[in-house]
Amino acid sequence: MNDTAAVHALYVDHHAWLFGWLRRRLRCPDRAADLAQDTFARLLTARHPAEHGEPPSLREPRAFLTIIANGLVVDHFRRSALERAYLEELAAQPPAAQPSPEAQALLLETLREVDRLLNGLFYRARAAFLLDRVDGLPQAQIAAQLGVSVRRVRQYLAQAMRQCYHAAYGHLE
Amino acid sequence: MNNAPVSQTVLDAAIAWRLQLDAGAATGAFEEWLHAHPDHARVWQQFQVLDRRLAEVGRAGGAALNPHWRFRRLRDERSV
Repeated sequence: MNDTAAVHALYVDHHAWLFGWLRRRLRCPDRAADLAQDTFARLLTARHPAEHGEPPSLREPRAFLTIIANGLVVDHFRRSALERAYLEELAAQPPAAQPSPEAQALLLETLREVDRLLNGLFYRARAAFLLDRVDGLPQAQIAAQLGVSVRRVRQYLAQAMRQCYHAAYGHLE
Repeated sequence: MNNAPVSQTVLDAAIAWRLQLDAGAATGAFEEWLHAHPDHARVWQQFQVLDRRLAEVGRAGGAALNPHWRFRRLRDERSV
């Protein structure tokens, strides 16, 4: 049985169950349907080298599907929290400063990308980096805001630059 | 542009230079370092690409990405 046939078999046997599982977690049938599709789409693009025998998905199908689906749910909540935060920040700005809906959508894409670059940083390092790069605050002011020394702020900035760099360009082998 | 990552040593040196330059401590030695090896120029260019990305975020976006900042502001607003 090739991978596509294997995924098809999984789909037939477990799609309804997975949809129910997602609907309970998301409380939204539309999103649950989307993420159920995404879960199976992930399986199709995943690599299962034939020499390793049966893919794990066939031995513990529901546990395996749940792991993938759970990752997608976490990602979904993270994205909606970011989107909500951005819309709240926009709402706090004067009407003249409101970007067009198209510009907002583009900016949200950029925010997701930058969020991905910063993912894994502890919150003070993340805060220091954003206050430095986006708000252009001097290091001394960032130190005061975070309640740490300027030396510590420099360490946070170095950490953040390293993290961003590797997230964008990878590691040297 | 070459998007391959540079070594950890070159990256750390570039970060140290960047922090020094940002702190206003620019020296001629930086130019020397920048031209001393193609990897130095490459990492610097890669930094600039990341900087442009971050510059697109804007204030509202920066605040949305920054839970600490949002938390502080909410707390300050409530204590007013």
